[in-house]
Amino acid sequence: MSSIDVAAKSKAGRQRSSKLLRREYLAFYLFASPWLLGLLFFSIGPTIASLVLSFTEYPLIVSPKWIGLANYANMINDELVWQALKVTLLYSLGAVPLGLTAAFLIAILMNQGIHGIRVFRTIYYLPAIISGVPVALVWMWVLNPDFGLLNSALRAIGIQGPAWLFSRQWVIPAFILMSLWSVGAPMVIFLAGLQGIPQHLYEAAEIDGASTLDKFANVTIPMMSPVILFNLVLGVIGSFQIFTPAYIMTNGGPANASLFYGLYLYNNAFHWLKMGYASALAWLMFLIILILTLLIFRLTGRWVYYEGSIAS
Amino acid sequence: MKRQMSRRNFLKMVSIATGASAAVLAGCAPATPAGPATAAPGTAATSAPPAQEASAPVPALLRSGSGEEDYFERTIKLFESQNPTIKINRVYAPGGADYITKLDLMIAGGDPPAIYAPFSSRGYRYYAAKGLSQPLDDFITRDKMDLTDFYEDALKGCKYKGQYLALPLDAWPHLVYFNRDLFKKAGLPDLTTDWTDKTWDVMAYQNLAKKLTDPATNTLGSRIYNPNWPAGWSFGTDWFTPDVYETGIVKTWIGDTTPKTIAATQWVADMVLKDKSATSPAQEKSLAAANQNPFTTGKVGMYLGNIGDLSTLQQITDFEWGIAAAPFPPGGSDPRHLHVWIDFWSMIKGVKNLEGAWQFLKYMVGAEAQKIYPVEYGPQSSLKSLASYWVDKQKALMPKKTAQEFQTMIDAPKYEQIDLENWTINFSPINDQALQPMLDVIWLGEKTAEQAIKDATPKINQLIKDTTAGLS
Repeated sequence: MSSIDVAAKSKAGRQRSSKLLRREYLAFYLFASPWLLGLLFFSIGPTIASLVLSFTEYPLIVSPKWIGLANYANMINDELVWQALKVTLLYSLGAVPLGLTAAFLIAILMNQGIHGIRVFRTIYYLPAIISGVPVALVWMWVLNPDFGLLNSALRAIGIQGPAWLFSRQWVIPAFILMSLWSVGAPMVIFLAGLQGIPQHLYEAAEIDGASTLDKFANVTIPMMSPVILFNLVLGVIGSFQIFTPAYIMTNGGPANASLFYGLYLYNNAFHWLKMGYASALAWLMFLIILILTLLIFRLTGRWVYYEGSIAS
Repeated sequence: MKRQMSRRNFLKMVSIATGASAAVLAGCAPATPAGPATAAPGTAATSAPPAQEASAPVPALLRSGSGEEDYFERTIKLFESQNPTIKINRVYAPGGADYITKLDLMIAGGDPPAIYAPFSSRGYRYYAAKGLSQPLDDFITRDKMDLTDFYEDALKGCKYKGQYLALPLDAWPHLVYFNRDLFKKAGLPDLTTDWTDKTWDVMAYQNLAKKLTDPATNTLGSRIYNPNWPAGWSFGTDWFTPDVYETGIVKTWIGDTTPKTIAATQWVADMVLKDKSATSPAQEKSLAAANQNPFTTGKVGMYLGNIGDLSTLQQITDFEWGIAAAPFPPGGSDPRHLHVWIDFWSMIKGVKNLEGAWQFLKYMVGAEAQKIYPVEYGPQSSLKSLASYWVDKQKALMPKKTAQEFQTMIDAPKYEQIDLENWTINFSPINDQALQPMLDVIWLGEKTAEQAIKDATPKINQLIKDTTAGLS
């Protein structure tokens, strides 16, 4: 066969496969289009819009007015921004470690091979699927200083409980305590991770004379480190976005002691109709969460172990 | 073999898709609001009104969720039967912040209601300052509408920059409610129903509260006199200069330089923290979450409440309760400073059937409609002539109340003035961001009133400066 024939055959072959490829691409985009359109119209589009709005003064009921970087400049002098960041950071520093520890310990308990363990797994997961508003209302009663469940229990053992949601010092610990309600979700993920740890590692450790604590520290924790990382990142992001409990239970009080960032953003947007400023606040939050997440990932090399990766 | 998309092509496709979505989103942007399309806040409308259509339905944004729907439906049906060419398009929204959000979104979406009554802390003046309110003077003059029957203070509040932009709908004055059984048990006479009795002042109130308090039976003399900004009014003074009621703009903070305002706030705190004769804000908020009034437990001697509480108090069967005039400031030498909450109807500019909207508004503030709503619902009418009609309705529900008690309720609006919240343009952010947090600190006992007010003053002045920018 001459080189021209080969070239001609090859070109025809490429044309056939190119048509096939185009058909496959078309099918791909058609099937993916609902999600892609959703992403464009409900995520990317509004994100771009909020970025533009952050450079405007926009009271919603009249047209936006371009003001450049004024919203960002005002944030520096807005003491409530700093108060909201402080409150949110304090909450995050308390809720995330406590939540992860509790979820991990509960997952270890749920990983025991005892009768009826599935019932317990369901019970511990159920609170996580109940939506925010009824949970907040229930906790308002639990944390009531006069007749709430918690203070009544403390009184029974001779302790005078604090005013919880009505105390500037105790309102954030109250929210941190409340955050334990939703440990079911990370617990399930930890449980899956625990069940994925190869048993031969524990057997090998036992043969080497490792105690229970040694096995936990040298097998369980390293093997679970990727799952811990996953839950840590989700936990940090979630803790910075807390809104519903604060809106329902305290509305930022007393005296702005529970003014979470999400609540302050909401008030600016929908209560005081400062949409432009609220958009700028949203972008600041995005930057903060991005930096924190990148920081976490930067540090993963020191403590996250991926099976099969080369030891440093 | 499948060919993988190159990075360049992938990035090209993403850029095209993003640009396309931005273009589509720009095209789908909401229509400019019915008010001024390009006007800055605080300036008058510059866009031309839409062509009028006499047959266009009149959209009315109405509050729901507290049982008013039935009353609105009855009045609207009556109106439509008398005006068969005018169709009212009812849009219901829950009250308070939800109503305001709905109103704002309708305006922003270019589909504003023709007529609205917020029943919340955003007044018509807020929209008037943005050039969105329809002046009513020409209609009032043309139809020779008699405004003399409205309570004067309420009518005064309906003017903004010399124009009528709203008309009053109802009146929720404040009164003192007291537990007659607890008073009898403590050997105390009933409270006075006489608004002119100057011996009944806030100091007498405080003393009575102490006498009624009994820790052994968990009984408190009073609810907190007021946990919110009106606490500063208890001695007859104010947080701001009086021009706020004329202009609707909070311009000058005088809380830190008015000794009586500081003393009044401290007085409220002392009853809670020192005398321990009043409920704390924590107790109030806990019970408010369950929609419960502490007074109904029978363990609170008295409290300053508004007339809206009657519907709850009427259901009390465990004890006898009475109605009294609110106390004077100390010594009775200064006039009281109490607020009467007044709702109003107002119109948004730029609606298609202006005449239809006006006819509906005029009907809803008239006697025939007010007999149904608000009178049958509970609060007083904004019309003086319906005072005795309201009394007759309430007598059927409270047969044991005396004639003097009913007279006290009717007389109340004369001794009170319009609320700051729903009659001002910029009070709400000042209250939310500075005034209420300042009061929280006082009620928690962390600072004295003087210290807390002094510390909050720079923030309040800054907020006044920020929120009055562009307002005149």
